[in-house]
This record gives sequence, structure tokens and C-alpha cells, in this order.
Amino acid sequence: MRKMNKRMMAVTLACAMLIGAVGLTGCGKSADEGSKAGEEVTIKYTTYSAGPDHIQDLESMIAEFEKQNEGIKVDYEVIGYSDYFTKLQTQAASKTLPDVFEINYENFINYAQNGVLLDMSTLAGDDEDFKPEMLSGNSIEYFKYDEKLYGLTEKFSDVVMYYNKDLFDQAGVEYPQADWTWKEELEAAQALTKDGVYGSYSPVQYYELYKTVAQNGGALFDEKGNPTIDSKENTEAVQWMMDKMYLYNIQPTPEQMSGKSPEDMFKNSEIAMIRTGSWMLSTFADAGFNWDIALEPGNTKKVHHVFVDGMAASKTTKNPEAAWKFIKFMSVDPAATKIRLESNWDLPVANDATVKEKFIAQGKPESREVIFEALDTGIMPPVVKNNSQVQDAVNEELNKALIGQATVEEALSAAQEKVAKIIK
Amino acid sequence: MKKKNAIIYILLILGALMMIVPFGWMLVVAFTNADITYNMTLKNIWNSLSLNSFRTVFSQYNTGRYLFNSVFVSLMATAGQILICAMSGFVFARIEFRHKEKLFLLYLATMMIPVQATVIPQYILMNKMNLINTYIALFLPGMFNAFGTFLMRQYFKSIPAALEEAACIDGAGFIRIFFQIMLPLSKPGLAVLAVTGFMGAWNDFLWPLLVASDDLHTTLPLFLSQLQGRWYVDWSVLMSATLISVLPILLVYIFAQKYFIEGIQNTGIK
Repeated sequence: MRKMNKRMMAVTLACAMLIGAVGLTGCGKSADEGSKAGEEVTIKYTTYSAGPDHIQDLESMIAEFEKQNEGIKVDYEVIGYSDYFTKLQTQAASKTLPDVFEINYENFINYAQNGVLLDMSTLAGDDEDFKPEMLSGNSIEYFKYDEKLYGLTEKFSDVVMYYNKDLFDQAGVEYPQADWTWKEELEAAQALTKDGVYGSYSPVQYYELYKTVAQNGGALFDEKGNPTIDSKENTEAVQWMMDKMYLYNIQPTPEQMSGKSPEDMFKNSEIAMIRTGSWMLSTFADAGFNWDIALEPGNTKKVHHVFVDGMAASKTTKNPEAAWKFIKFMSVDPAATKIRLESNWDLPVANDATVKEKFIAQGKPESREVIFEALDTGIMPPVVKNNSQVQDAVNEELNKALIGQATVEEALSAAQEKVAKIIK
Repeated sequence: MKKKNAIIYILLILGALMMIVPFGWMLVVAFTNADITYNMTLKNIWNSLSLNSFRTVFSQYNTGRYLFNSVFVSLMATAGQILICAMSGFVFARIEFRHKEKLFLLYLATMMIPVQATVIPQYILMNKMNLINTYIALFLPGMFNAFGTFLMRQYFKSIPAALEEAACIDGAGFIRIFFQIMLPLSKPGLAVLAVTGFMGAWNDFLWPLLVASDDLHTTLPLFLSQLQGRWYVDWSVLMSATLISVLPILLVYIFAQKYFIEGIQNTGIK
């Protein structure tokens, strides 16, 4: 009797599960077919840069796009930047990438190499309304791989030097000039450092490192992509990064900052000069003091960071034409460019002389043109295999130097060894 | 003796402070603005008290929806977990069948595999079932929990077998024994399961990150991650949102606390 019961239960359960599974898949499929039959197509777009404060701007861009292209609807999803690529990788692995997604320059190559991106060369070539010259500079090249066009540049941002004019006036120091080098920066910072104010700040991490070594004529990788992390120029540059804190005391150490962000300290008049991105323009707008921006001092070379965001499409998208239209819109359309400019959402890529004028005319700070001047000496993050692992390894060693567990030479040669293994 | 007590009290107070200070900090920043961190005096806090960041949280984002999603998904996952873990725990505790111990060990062994290893196959499975971006995908995997099964098995084992035998003599079958005798007797165990299950589902981040892909299915932890910009974080808004996401779990814990502690004590070795 008991045995019978157990068997019955097992069979019933198994049946229930089967019916459940079949029923569920059934539902999903019919819904899918329904959408295909309709005239209207919906494309899915995933972004990291819209959150948290540009979601409404993105919505107005999409509304404009849907107005221009009847029959195409865009569903968007915002994911926090730190988790964005976790999700994208899972979707790439299971072939469920969204139709269109944002991707940045340094991560692009990985996805292009893995063959998950849609080749848009033909779509772009056949489009009568599109010319490569619509993008400024040579930015049409950034998302090409193997001569094929896998995406369009969407927008730029760069890093410049922000300075607190009031603190400079109080200390009687001349404002930063375009021809300044590290030497002049140091002298000014030493005069500025007093009464709880630190003269200067630059982060100590991978992104700052590749630029700082370039300002000293070095590089993390040679032209063939082999690591040259422990070169003489690089060692000097990293020594300078450390000396600002531990020798000259013009930059707060991590302990002295005790968890405060450098941007917050600048806004609180605790740091006089800070290297940070063009994305801070709107955040600093309401600071209670006068401030401006200037080109970054270099040592032997003038170099600035440039960050590039692009738009790519999935190889498995069912609506490549709609995807292309949306990518084109986000990149070069005048209406999208206008919304981007007005909302201070990075620099538009559209090749349009009025873009620069409009950007500069926005008022505070005075020297807005610096943001564009910095592009002339811009370098982009190194593109290497296993980008995130390389970054982690370098950051780890850099941190050891920062907290005094290793000398600069030791840290860099350890990083060199690790990175050589990672990209092998 | 008294001295010893004093030391213990001091240690306990220090421990409590370590837990409470970050929480208090969160409250202050949520109800004022991020700049307060630099001049945190009572007067400054009093002067800059405002609900602005809460207004931002509710007016600029779909926070009500996220809150509903989190509550709904967590409740479904918890309910499923209670039913499934209690049933399987009962089977492993009371019903004899061949290879039972081996099967149980195998089931427990799944606890050793990190989520990160199973997440992609699980995602593909959900995708094949056309469940991506549905509520079902959000709560279904959370319903099965090896730890919960283990917990319930231990609890059922601690209930005297005589009760079950008596019911059996009176003509009750397995189902009746389970629902009318065992379940009511194991309330403290169920409470522990409910609280841990709810907390787990509430705080889960990786799985919702992967399967939820529009605003309508976003849960609170995803929202908190979205609030952290690539370059800059508005701490005040983030802390307000965090406070909103912490409150429900706090309520659950306070109400279940009595059962919770009792349950943990009883499931141990007796």
C-alpha cells in the first residue's frame, strides 16, 4: 500500500513537471511569433552610461528616434557600469545579446574577436544618408576590426585639470598655463599646500598610470602589444606619482583621504588642482567658489586621456536594419546631438562645427574649449587581450607601492611579469 | 565577577556600535545631503534635514515598481522554498528508500558549487524555456535550496517519531501526517527557513542582473547598482534608496526574531 503510494506520487510529480515545462515553453513561443507577425519591430538597447542621471535624456532621444522612424520601437535597459560587462558576457555566451548595446573602446576588441558583433560594413555602405565623414576626426575607425565596421563611436569624454581659482588667488599663485610641466605644477602645489588644503591630486590606478607614463615618454605596451611596464620612463613616472604624496606632501595619501572621494574634496576646497573627467563639469557647476579648467601638465610630452563609448549590434539580431538606424541616430543625428549637448552628456561625435561653438557657449567654466583642445593630444586606453585581468594585476601591484609594501621598481617588475603571463 | 561583566558589556557595546554607526551614517546622509559628511555636527545635520533625496528616488525612478518586484519575487521564492524544502526535508528525515543517504549527500554537495559556476548553464536553461525577463525566471531557481532541505530534515528528525506513528495508527497517510502533524510542529524551523530564504531572495543580485532586462522586472538591488554612476555617485540618493531597500528586511527580521532564535537553537544536535 505504502509502496504504491510512493510510486503514484512520483509519477504524478513527474507528469506535473513535464506539463509545466511544456506549457511554459508553449506560451513563450506563441508570444514570440505574435510579435514577428506585426508590422512594428521592437529593438532592445542596453546602456551603462545613461544611468543614473541621464535616463530622461535617453528617453527623449528614443522618443525622437521613434518619431523619425515609424514602425521601430526601442526598449532600453540601464545597467550599472560595474556590472554591465558581467551581464554582457553571459548574454554573449548564451547568444542572447540585446539587438543594440553600448560598448567602450577598450572592451570592444574582445567582443569583435569572439564574433558576436554584427558586421555593419554593408549596411553603412548601402545607406545613402550616411557618410563616414559625418563622424568627427578619424572616429569612424575606432570600432573597426579586421577592416570591418562593427560599431559607431557614440560619444567622447576626456580628462583635464580642474583648479580652484579662489585658492590660487589666496596663495598668490599664477593660474595653470597650457605650457606647464610637472615642475611648474609641483611649485604651484607646494605654495598652495597649507591650512588643510592639498595642492594637487591625481588618482593612482591603471587608467591614470598609462597616461602618466605617456606624459613621461613611456608606455605600458610597445607597438606589438608586448608589455613594457618596468621601463625606465615608466619607473620615473610612477616614482613621481608616489613622490607627490610621500616626498612633497602636496597630494593626500589614502589614509589622509580616509575614504573621501577626491572630487568631493575638491568641491569642499580641500584640493586646489585635480585631474578628473569632463563628466564632472555639471557636478562642479554649483561649487561655492570660482574654478576653471586647464590642460594637464605633462613632463616630456603633453598627453590627455580620451574615453570613447560606441554602439554595436548583436550578430544574432533579427532586425539589423532597425539596429543600424538606431546606432546611426545615436551617433550622428542632429537631434540626438542637440539633446546630448544640452544635457552635458559627454561630447557628441557628430562632425559639425556648431557642436564646439554650442558647447563652449554654455558658460561656466570660462575655458570650456580646453575640453576640445585636450582631444588633440589624446590617447586611448591600451587595447590588450584579457583587458580586465591586466587592469586588476597592474592595480594590485600599484597598490603595493602605494601602501609602501613594495618599492616602485619592485611593483613595476612584478606587474610586468604578471601581465606578460596574462596576455600570453 | 562584576569586573568580568563590565568587560563583557564594554565589548558588546563596542560590537553594537560597529554595527550601528554605518547604519546611522546612512540615515544621516539619506535625510540630508552628501556634503554633510565633511561637517557632521548635530547643528549642521539639523539645519540640512530634508526629504529631497527621497523625492528624487521616487520621482525620477520607478522605485515603487522596483519595491513591488522585490517584494513579490522574494515572497514567491520564499513560499516555494518553504513548501519544497519542507517536503523534501520530511522525505529525507522520515521515509525510507534505497540509496537515501547517498542521494542526500549528493544534494548537500550541490552547496559546495559556487553560484558563478552554475549561473550560465542555468541562464541558458531559462532562455531555452523562453523565461528570460519574466517573474518566473526571477523566483523559480530560488525555490530550491539544499541548505533549507538540510535545515528542515534536522528539524523533523528532532520531532519524536511516536507522534507520527500514532497518526499512522489512526489511519493518516503521508500527506496528512505532513500537513497536519509535522508542519504545525515545525513552525520555528519554518520561520528560520522563511527568514533566511526571504533575505537571500531579497538581497540576490547576480541572478536578477542576468535575467531581468527591463525596467518592469528590475529589483531593488539592481536599482542600487544602477544608481552608482560610472564616474560619480550621488551618495544621498543612493543612501535613501538603500534605506528603502533595508526597511522591509528589518521588519521581517523583527517580527520573526522570536521564532528565528528558537529555531536555530532547536535544529542543532539534541
